[in-house]
Amino acid sequence: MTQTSTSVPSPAENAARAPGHRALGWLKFAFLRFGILPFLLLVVLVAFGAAEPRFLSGENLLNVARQSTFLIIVAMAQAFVILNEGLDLSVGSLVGLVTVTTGVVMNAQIFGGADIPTAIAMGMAAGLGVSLIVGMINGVCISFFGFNPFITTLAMMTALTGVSLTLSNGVPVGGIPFEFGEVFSINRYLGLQAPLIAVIVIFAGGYFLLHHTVFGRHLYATGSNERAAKLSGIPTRSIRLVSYLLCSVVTCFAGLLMLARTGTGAAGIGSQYALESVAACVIAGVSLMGGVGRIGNVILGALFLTLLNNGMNILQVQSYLQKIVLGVILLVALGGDRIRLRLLGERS
Amino acid sequence: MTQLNAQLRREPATLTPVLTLTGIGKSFPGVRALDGAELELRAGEVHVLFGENGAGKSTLINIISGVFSQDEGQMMLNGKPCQFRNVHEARAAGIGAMFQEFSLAPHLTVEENIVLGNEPARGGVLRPRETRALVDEVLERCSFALDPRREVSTLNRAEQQMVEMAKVLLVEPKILILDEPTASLSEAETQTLFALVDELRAKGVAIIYITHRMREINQIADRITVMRDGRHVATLDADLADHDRLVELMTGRKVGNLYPSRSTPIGEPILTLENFGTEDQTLHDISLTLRRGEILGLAGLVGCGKSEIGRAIFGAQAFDHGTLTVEGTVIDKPTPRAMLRQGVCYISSDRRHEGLMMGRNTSDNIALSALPRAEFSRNGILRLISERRLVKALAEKIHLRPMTLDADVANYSGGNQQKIVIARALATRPEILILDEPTVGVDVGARVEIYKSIVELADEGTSILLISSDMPEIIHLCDRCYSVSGGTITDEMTASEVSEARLLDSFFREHAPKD
Repeated sequence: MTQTSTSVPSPAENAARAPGHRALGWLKFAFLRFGILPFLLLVVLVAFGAAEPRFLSGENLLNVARQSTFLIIVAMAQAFVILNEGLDLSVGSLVGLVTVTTGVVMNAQIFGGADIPTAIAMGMAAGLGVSLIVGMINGVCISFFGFNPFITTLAMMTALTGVSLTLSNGVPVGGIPFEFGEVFSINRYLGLQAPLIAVIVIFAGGYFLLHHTVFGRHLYATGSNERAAKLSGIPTRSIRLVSYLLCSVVTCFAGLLMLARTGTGAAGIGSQYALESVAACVIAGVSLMGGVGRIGNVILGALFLTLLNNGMNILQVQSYLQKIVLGVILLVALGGDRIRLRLLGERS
Repeated sequence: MTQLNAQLRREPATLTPVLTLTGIGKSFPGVRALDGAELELRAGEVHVLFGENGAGKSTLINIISGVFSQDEGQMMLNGKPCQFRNVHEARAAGIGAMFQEFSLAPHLTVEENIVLGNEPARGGVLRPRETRALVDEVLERCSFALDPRREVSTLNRAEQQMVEMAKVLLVEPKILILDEPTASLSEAETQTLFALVDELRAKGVAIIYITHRMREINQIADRITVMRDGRHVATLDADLADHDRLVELMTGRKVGNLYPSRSTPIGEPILTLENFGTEDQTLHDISLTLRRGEILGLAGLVGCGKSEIGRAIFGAQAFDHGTLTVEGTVIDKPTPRAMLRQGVCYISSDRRHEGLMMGRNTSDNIALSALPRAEFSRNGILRLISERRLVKALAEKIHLRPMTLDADVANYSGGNQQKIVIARALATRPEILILDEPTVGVDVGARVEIYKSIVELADEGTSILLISSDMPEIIHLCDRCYSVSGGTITDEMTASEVSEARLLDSFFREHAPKD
């Protein structure tokens, strides 16, 4: 938030200009500074909490936290490319491909007589390997050949689903070693399960990378104004390539954790994340024009989407209606962001 | 030339004002853009609006043309109070505006653009023959040689400007607003535009003309209104206004000498170009030498190739033959990255697209080029405290005002934005600094400070290649200069030899229009 802090008028200033509208001044200040997301979160918590007290129970909130980890991870992955004025629609089908590849390789290893730890390690390596290849292809096509990110990753999404289906012969891959699920989904370390630890580590790593390294600054710069970045001696194409690699690798972690949680690998697993991850970023104020947004907010964005889903499930809102609500909220978020940018921009 | 202009300028046809604005105030969240602005516009006059960037000129013309409405104050059109809710109403009242930013659709044709928003149609169905007649008529009236069927994106900037102008004149406005119309025009095109303005003035059109250029004011202005900080400062007859008086009114202080003097010995050659050129001959047979601590000018008209020379040296644009030597090292294929390592820095004339990261804060913008340096990072990890300190020192050095390092750069005026881009270059501690039109769209106050910075740098031993279309800048600032025309160097002169006459002579020596 430091970037915008001084360009926002203080609430005192606002209040002074419109005496008697002190509360409104504060609201506007919060809106300009943090965007629409805190308001949406508040509305959802209050509305659902009032309608159904169970929604606010510790148990349910914990449940939401657990459910949301995968989306949070994929959304953070997505943020790396969106900040760079890119887009990766293939993250959803990559999750599926990682579950399938890892599962297939684990099974083959066990069938070939390898011991369980080796099989698990080989399987995970295979999952990571395909992710690197996918990130590489996306990155090279977009940054070095100048392909359009939307179309490139849309094509990748389609192709990857096909690869997953081919690898798995169209049936879900089972027979995952129980130990894999134990280590990466059930066991607690310092009271935390692996997915939550992954979220914390990826957030901390991502935050450090974006705000404390030269690479991070260059990533924002490339997303904000590529020509200026290039003239400032920044290797913009490499930066862009690395952002796609990062995105795929982080997505891979989500795939591995997903496989540990469900014990099945299938092409369709995670397919919803393609759009949900973009939605989480946009709601969190990550600009699709690149260069603007913070990774911490992306976590809130993903949490919000999961909360909304959970709340509507508890209230037994019809699933068709749920989709309508989600669509409307996305539009509201986009509209709110535009108003915010205009209010900020009018001051120039 | 000036005698001719004096002849062309005629007395205003009438002294009754067509448009009067009194006590205009306008606020945006956090900014008081106008506070007691005034303007009295007479039919048949060219009325120059003069002021620093951020003085409120743009806001004022936006109110007149119906883009914004004022918070307070009164606007009278032909003696009757009026208020426009949108651009359409203003246009219907006979007010046409041509803004700096073009409002053209690049993929439509000249004709389609000219009638855009006013398409002759019946029941929503276009009437092509009527359109053609209308367009032919307006092009004829302006004596523009444009093919109505050409796509606008294939036109050069001057031609696009003509389309923009034709679009405004289609409805025969009573009041015409021109916002820095010559910013991208060459000398010849400027004269064409002035002829047209003269013609409109003779027909009784009242013209509001925004410009920073003194020469234009001398040439076409009848009266001048000076604004400062959103207020009306003075309105005076053009005959009574000289440069120093206007600058004093505009800045509110005496500007002693615009150009600082310098007396530093110039060192050995640090950068040389030999037989430099491109395959397509847009640049050809260029040889030049830049010495240590020297301010070397590249003068020329817009589009003569001087910018391209600077870009090619920095690697922002390719060249096909010739030798580039920097500090004894021959460089085959320069890239911006490699040149920055060599200590060469380039500041683009296009701040918006090639300079600033809009939406990012000042500090990030200043530090951008220098991040890999040891003062800013260690092993790829930023040293935020050290960065903060260095950025602050740089911002102070260039007199950034206000000093809000956390604020979005979009909030700064053009002059301050230019200072930020210069600070970014300084952060890399360049040996050689290439400045492309460093004072375009920069008000006089900031201009003085930028000149001071340039001279300070040269005194510290930095070599400066100053690419500029502004002749006074070249004449007063440079130790030596080359003039460029038609993609090659046509003359070289030292500070004692340079004069406006000699520069102009060399500009036109080999100048053949390319279109």
